[in-house]
Amino acid sequence: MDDELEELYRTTYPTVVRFLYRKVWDADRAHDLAQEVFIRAMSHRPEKPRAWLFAVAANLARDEARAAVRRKRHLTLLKDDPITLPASPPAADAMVEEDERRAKVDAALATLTKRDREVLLHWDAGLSYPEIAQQTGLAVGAVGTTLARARKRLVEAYDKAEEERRAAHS
Amino acid sequence: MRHIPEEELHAYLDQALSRSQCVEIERHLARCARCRLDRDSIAALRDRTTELLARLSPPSIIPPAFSVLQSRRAERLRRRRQWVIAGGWAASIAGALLLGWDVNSRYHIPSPRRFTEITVAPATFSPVAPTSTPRPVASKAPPASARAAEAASPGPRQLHAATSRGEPAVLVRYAQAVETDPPAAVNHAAADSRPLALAEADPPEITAAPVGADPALQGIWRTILPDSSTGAQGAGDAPRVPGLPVVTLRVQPGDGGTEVTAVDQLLASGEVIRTIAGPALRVGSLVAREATAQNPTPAQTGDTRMTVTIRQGDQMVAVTGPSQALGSLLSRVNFKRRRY
Repeated sequence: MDDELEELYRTTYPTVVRFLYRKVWDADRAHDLAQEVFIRAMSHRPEKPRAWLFAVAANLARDEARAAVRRKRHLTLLKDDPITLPASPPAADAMVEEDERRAKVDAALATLTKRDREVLLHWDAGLSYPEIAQQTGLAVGAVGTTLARARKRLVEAYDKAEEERRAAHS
Repeated sequence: MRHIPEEELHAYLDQALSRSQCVEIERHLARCARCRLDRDSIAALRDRTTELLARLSPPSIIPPAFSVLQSRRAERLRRRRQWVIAGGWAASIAGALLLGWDVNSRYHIPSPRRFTEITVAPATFSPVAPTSTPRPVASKAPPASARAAEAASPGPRQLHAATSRGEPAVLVRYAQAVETDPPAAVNHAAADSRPLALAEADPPEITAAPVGADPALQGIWRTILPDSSTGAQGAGDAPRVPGLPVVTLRVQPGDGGTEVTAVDQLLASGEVIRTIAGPALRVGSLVAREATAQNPTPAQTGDTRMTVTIRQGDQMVAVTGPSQALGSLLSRVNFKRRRY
């Protein structure tokens, strides 16, 4: 059983990290949560391990988001305190550009409805249609429709933002 | 001719359709240029989405060795076992305490011997010649309930209620405190012919008198600290209410080794209950002096304190405390009397 899980770990770990990263937006945290998912899988021995992994990952990410909201509230209380931010180190142009592109995709993803975003991210994580249906509560037949709409909206939102940026620069 | 819906082309490209559905779609695509165009544009959209989302990946994903996760899990299980063991111990102790408390509250009946610790003078008192005991206060005719209590008490035991000022209201209140049981219970007690063990030899005489303050401890008293009281000769076994913390212990030496002890103890309510024990004449005079000389009308003092004197032979114990606490004490006395 451990061998099966080890094989699943080897093949799925990057996908789970990526899936979590798009929810918590912190690489280290995504790694921590992904490892937590696999440690729990060792104890639970799920029948459908792949779907189970992503279900647990989604739950952990949701808990993480709630904790982040609490932290944010706490920080809001402290925001009046004068905080001197350290000057950002001189970053390479490539890094800045990479960050910008990432931020744009993130902004485009944020324009989607929650359900569309969930379906899209689950699909990108490699889940099958029945697995996505199980995770999101949709009918299997509705997954294709939702995915078609989500893909279209993501690309449209990204292209629209890109056009606006170009128009602003010209 | 029916064209392939958009979502079906998505599912087709995502390999989410059955083999027969795929065959059907491929057959249609082979002869429909428009659906082929749709398929190509959806495939491009799909690739674009994948490319955009790939930007949202963390910089590099290098999975740690699987053995690292296995050892972390083993460590977690070990810690959890420790917690379970510690929790089990805590639960066992708590359970034992609760069980003990429950059993005690269900089956514990205060032992009559506890009362004798109050009523019977300690052995350290040397006997003196019986003297006529001055009744601390003038005895009034007890109310009906008090008479019932007297009827219920076996043997020559007497119960008197009296007040220095003769306030009828006080008498009624006291009587309620002493005897609060229904007549049926009293009759049952009267029918019980078993003799009271305490009353067999020398039945004590119980007298209760409301006073406004503590009996004045006139004369020269030697104060013994509670900590050293256990080691003090002749004072460690001074009569007191069992189970209450001792605040002050005073001893007044008398002629021929007949000493009077006064023990102040703290009630749970924070009030002090005082037990004076010794030769009946001296204890009685201390109580009487307080009740007659220094006590104004009960209304002025709030009428909150009361003295109960218990006499056995030439020895007397006077307990002074809040009337409510003494009332419940006397109720327990009556309760015990009916049981035995």
